[in-house]
Formats: sequence, structure tokens, C-alpha cells
Amino acid sequence: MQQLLNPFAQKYPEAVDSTLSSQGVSILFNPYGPFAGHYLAVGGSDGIVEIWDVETRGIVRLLEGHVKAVGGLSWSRNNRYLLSSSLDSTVIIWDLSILTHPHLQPRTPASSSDSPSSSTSRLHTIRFNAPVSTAVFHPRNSKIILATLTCGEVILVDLRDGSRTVLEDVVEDEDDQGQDDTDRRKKSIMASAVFSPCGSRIYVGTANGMLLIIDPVSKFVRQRVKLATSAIRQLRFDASGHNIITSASDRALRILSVDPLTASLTPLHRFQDLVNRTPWHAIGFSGDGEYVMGGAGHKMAHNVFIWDRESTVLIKVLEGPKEPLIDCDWHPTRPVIASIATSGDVHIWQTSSPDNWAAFAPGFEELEENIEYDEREDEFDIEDETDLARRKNLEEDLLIDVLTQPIDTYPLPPKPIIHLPAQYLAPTVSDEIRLEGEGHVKTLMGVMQWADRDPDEDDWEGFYMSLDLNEELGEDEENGLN
Amino acid sequence: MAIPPPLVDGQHSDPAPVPEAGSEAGPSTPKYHLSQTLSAHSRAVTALRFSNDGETLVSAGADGYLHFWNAHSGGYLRGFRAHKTGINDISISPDSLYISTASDDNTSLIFPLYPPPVAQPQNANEPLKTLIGHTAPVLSISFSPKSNLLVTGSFDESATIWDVRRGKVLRNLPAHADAIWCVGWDHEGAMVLTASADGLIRLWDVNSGQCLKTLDNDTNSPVSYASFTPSSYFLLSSTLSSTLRIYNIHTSKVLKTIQAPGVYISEKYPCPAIIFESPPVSQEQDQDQDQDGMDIDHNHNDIANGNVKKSKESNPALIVSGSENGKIVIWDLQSKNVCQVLQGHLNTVVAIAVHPNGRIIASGGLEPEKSIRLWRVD
Repeated sequence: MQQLLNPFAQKYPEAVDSTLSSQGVSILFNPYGPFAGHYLAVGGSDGIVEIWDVETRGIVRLLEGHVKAVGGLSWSRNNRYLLSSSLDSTVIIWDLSILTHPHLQPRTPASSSDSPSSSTSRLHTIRFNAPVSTAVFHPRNSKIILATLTCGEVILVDLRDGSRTVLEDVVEDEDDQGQDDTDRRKKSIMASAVFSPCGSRIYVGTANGMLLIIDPVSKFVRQRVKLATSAIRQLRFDASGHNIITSASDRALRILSVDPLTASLTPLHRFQDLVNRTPWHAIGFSGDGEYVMGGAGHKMAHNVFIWDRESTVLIKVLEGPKEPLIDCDWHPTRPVIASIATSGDVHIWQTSSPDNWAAFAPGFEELEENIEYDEREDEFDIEDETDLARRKNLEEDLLIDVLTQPIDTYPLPPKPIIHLPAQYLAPTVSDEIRLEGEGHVKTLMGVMQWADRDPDEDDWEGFYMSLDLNEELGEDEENGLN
Repeated sequence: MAIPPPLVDGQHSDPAPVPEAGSEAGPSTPKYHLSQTLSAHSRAVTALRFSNDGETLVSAGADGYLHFWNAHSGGYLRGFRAHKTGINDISISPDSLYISTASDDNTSLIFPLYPPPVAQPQNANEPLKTLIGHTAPVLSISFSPKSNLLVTGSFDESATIWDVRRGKVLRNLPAHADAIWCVGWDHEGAMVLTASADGLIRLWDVNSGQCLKTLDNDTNSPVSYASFTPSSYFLLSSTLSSTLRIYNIHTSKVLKTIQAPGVYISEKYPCPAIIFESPPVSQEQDQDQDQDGMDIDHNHNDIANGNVKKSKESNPALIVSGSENGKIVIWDLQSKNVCQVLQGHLNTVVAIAVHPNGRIIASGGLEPEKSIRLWRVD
């Protein structure tokens, strides 16, 4: 389908297309799978999490469990589970395959493995001793959760063995530790934490501007890079996992490229709004990673800045309604941005695409300029019918695979590197570097095996949410919102 | 219009092209036989569907009734009158929760597929949603892959995308010059196709409502049926010139033209044509049909290698459709050869369905017949 769309169409949105009435403070599209971007999770200021169907602009799930604002959301790899983290110090895992109506049992691959006992979508509630600012699933297993608390702690929760590990900035070569162990540990305050999209490393931003790369199995800090002198408040990867964007308290956005094998970081660009010195409330990449988005925290305006990642040119400033922006997210496949205003309303930004009239006529081609038509030598020859039939028959004598679904047409999370890349195998590469590369591959393999052990039940790639048509709809909902 | 000379004969005279494909289509295709005749409708059976979970067969008739059958045993489960007028098409949601109808009374209804066990009897047959909007009989209906949208095609020359949850129109696609006989979805729910009696098939972007592509056929025959193949690169169409075609949707090129002159006739009434993967043929059956020693060796090798997965992958794609002489024709898609002709119906076959496992074919025809036939592979 992508190939049928106009390849020269604008790749970023232009204007607010519609507004969803909500109470949101956080927002996230489901990033991967055949139905990537079909759902929009909205975490509410009242603790209610809504899941909107982007196609119909209707709420498909209403998740009630939190009692304070939900600031963090995360989708599991195949979208069956949603993680919400709240200022009420809890994190809840929701099973979106469950319908509240007891008799409705969707007969899909997601339900076959399940016993039909559970009638609530609230699967797990995890309590912490401080408000949770964000929490994310491990990209390969929703039983592993990384939570960032507002008190500056990052906790890795493993539901498979019930363990909780507070991540600390412990230096790896700590074997020559002296008498005062606590002194050697730099108790840095951690402000943000994410998994890399392949799930092999944890990236933590600290309050003093450091970016830490932590191995999720050993919990050792592998690397620390000084990025800024102020707190790194937000970290985000692009879909491929090759680029990371950070937002720091010094009001600058930094883009770094990440080597997926060695995790070595290369600073690429720095963006700043020099005129207004805008703080950034939300950051992100476009689905293809070509554009960078910054949701500006103006007090009196609702602006989203869009830069070209490669050339660092500011391409567009989306100007919306007067209310300030709290959060925004870019659709994983289309030029669509969803943003939340302080009123809690969700704005959907789109491009207006003009009708392609040529598509209505079969075999119609649009030409850039006049061309003289060269008729073929035999164009108006009358061919014998039997010859024609034989020729057509021969032309059609080719093998086509109509049964296999092409799988490369939708976004999938990147896989950890488990084979040494080709450039390490070149004869010019020294043994030392090759051994180092092999060491990295071994570590990544170890992390992958650790994460894949005791998997969750989110193994159906085509997961979608069934509807309950027995439920009563509100009057305004029934009439639609636009 | 001139019917092209028989292709089947052409292949017989020139058997050289792909001997392997031909030999594969021979012995390794399953043989279906009539196993049951189900009667419940008082008029012609117009639409048949198996649910995705493989448990239920639903039939719809010109009498406005829906009847539900156990797909495995053929046992009667329940039935009720859904419309006062005839039903033209039905669609079961991919999650096997709901069934929707397309009727001559210009409306579509959505019912639960499995009634709640404790419901009051009069309540169970009440529709959950009524879709009102078309100004002429609704001819075709189809649930989206996520079960959240429906598309309908109507005699009023328009197609409509419906929001299932609200039961309201989401988008109108008004761009055909004649009745829309068939609608369908691609496997990601991103595209809708509409096939019309004006001879065109159009592909639409669901999100924007834009027309993406238009396909025609060289005789401009009315398109009676069209669907995406499991691979969304290709599309199968059936026109009222007794011809099936496989298109590449990107190049608009016809890759296969499938006919069976004298056997397969479709000039007046639309009948679905369904692509499905041939069910695995058991070992004994292979040996029974010893037409060719080479083939048996080939099969033995497969089994000896224990390469079960590979042999599963290489099952050929089959197409089944109903003909106006009452025959049901099964083709091998790759070789375009007829594999089997099922005889039993006396009049035009207009309803056909294939069980998800490919082992049962259900068919129904125009009056005077009112029964459903089930054809099985052992």
C-alpha cells in the first residue's frame, strides 16, 4: 500500500485536523506491528487511561485504576499489554485483549492460549515508594519493566522472579574497592531512563548531564558520557535504534548516533530555540527517523518544531490553539502528530492531501511535459487469435506467490546484533578490534537470552482490540466528535 | 464478445512450459466429494461464510433468514429472520464475535455470532447495530481485519466505510458509474477495494478516502467479484465474461487469466471466487493416484527427508468458484489448470465458502434449490 501513495507527498503534518476531547497529560501511538499507529494511548490527569482508535476517533478501551495523573505510557512489543505509570506511585500493566463483557471471548490467536477466567484487564499493579514519572516495558518481554521515580531513582523490575534492582552508577572495575564502599559510588540522581529499541541496553540520563549506558543483566555501567551541565529530562530513540535525542534543562536538544553493536555515541547536532529559549516538553523522531520533533513549552502558544535530522534545518513550526503543549508523539508510519494541550484535549495534526485524479482512470499516466508518441512497429497489426492466446499464455507462465504475506511492509522493532557485522570480518581489521566486537556480540546474545526467558503471552504479531458492541455509548460519543 | 480459444487445450498441445508445476498440480491436489446437504432456507441460498475460528458456518438466503451450522458436523445450531427482504451478502468479524448482513432493504445489521448463554430468547435476535445510509439495496459487506470498520457496496453506486462501534458512516466513496458488487480489505486494513458493474476495480486509502488505483479489464466486463490475495501485492477478480484474473496491483498488469471454457460459465450472476492454500494431501492418497512414477518418487523424497515444513509451504494455491451450469470448478492457480469439477447443483451457484483449514467447501445455488452442499476432503 505504501508504494501506491504519492512518493512526493509531504512527509510532515501541517495543521490540526481534528481534536479529541480528553483529560490527557501523556500520549503515545503504538509503535510497531501491522497495525502500528492505529491506536493512541492517552494518560489522563484524573488517572484514567484511554485508548483511542485512530481510524474511527473513538475510545476502544477505558482503563480505570490510577488515582493521580498518568505521566508515562508504554506499549508491549505486539501491543497486547499497556504499561501506565502514575504520580500515585503505582505502575499498572493492562491486558488489552480482555473485554469487560463476560460473554465476549474474541476467538483470535491472543485468546486461544488464555484461560477465559480473567474478566478484568488490570493484570498487575506494582507499587513504589515514590511517584513514578515514567515506566517502560522491555522491548522483548513485558515482564521486565524499567521505572523512573520522581525522587531520582531508576528501578528495574523483573516480574519473572519478583526482583527489583535500583540502578546505581557503579563503576565496573570495582574489584579494588577500598574501605568506604559507599563513597566510591557516585550517587547520581537519575532523571530519565529508557531501553534501547532492541532491548540490549538501558540508557539513563542523570541530573548532572551524564548519559549512562547500563547492561540490563549485570546492571554495570558500561559507558558514561557527559552531554550537558544540567539534567537530562527526556531520552528518545528513533524506530531503528540508530539515533537518540535528549532534552536537557539547558533547553537544548541533542541528537547522538548510536552504534548498535558497541553503543559508542557520536554527537550529531544540537537544536535550540535561540529567540525564545523555549523549554521542550516533548521530543521525538518521525516514523522514518528523517525528522526531529520538539514540542515547545511556551506559556501562551501551542507549538511543535520540526527539523530535518540530516541538515538540521528548521522546516516547520506547527502553530496550534493558544493553550500550551504538554506532550506530543509522531505517528510511526504517517505524517501525523498528536499533541496534548493543557486543557487535556488531544490535537491530531495532518497534511491535507489533494485528490489524485489520475488514480481514477485505469492506465492513466501523468506527464511532466509533452512528449511525442512513438508508435510501435506492430502496434496496429491484427494478431491471429490463437497466436494471441498462446503469447498471453506464455507471458502468464510465471510463478507468483499469492499465499505468503509480505512482512517487510510494517515497522518492526530492531533486533539485537547476534552476528558479527561484516566490517569486523574484513582482513584489515586487527584481531584486537575483532575480539572486542565478538565480546559485544556475546554480551548482546546474553541479554537477549535473558530477556527471552519465560516470555509473556504477547506473541501474536497481528494483535488488535476487539469491540464490545453491547456497551452503551454516551450521546456525544455516538454522534462523533467532529 | 469473442471468447478466446480454450487455454486448456493449448496447454495440452504444448506441455513443455513448466512440467514441474503441472506435475505438482496433478497428484498433490486434494479431491473433494459431496458429504452433506443441509436444508433450512425457504428460498435460494445467497451467501455463505465460515467463521475465522473454524467453528461455525453461517448461511444467508433470499428469504431474509440467517442460519448457523456447526462447521465440523454440519449440525443445525440456530436461525432467525434478520431482514424482511433478501440478504445479499454476510461478513463475520475476524475475531468471530459479530456477523453483519447486506440486504435488499438498503440496510445492514450487526448481530452477535454466538448468542450470550443467558439472554432472553426474543433478545438474542435483535441487531446490535443498524447501518442506515444507502439508498438502494446493499450488495456486499466486509469487516476490516481489525473488526472495527465495515465497508459496504450498494446498488446506489457508492461504497461506505462504517464505524462499527458507533454504527455510523465514517466515509463515503462515491466513484463508480454502476452498482458496486463487491468490496474488500487488504490484510493490514489500510486499503479497501470496490468492484463494480462498470467494469472497474478501485483501490482506496482508508485513512484519507483517496482513490489510489483503478484497474480495468480488456473486455470492460462487469466485475462481479474481487479480493486481495493473502499477499497484498496481488488481487483476484472475476468478471461476467467467465474469466478470473490475478492482477499485480502496483503495475496493474494481469499476471494470470484463468478460464475453463464450457465448464466455468459466469455471464449473468456474481459468484465469489476464493483463493486458498490446498490442504495437505495424505500419503495414502498420493499413492492411490499413481499416474506418474516420477511424482511418487518426488513425494517419497519429501517424506523421507522429514521436511514437513517445506512440504507445507509448497502447498499449491487453489481457486474455487461456482458456475452457472451448477458446477463448482477448482483450479490450480500456478498452472491455471482445472484440478476438479464438483457436480451436484442443478442451477447457478452463487454462494461459496472455504473452511479456514481448506478441507470443507460449502456451496449454495439459485432456486429451485434451497439447500447448502458441503464438500469435504478425507
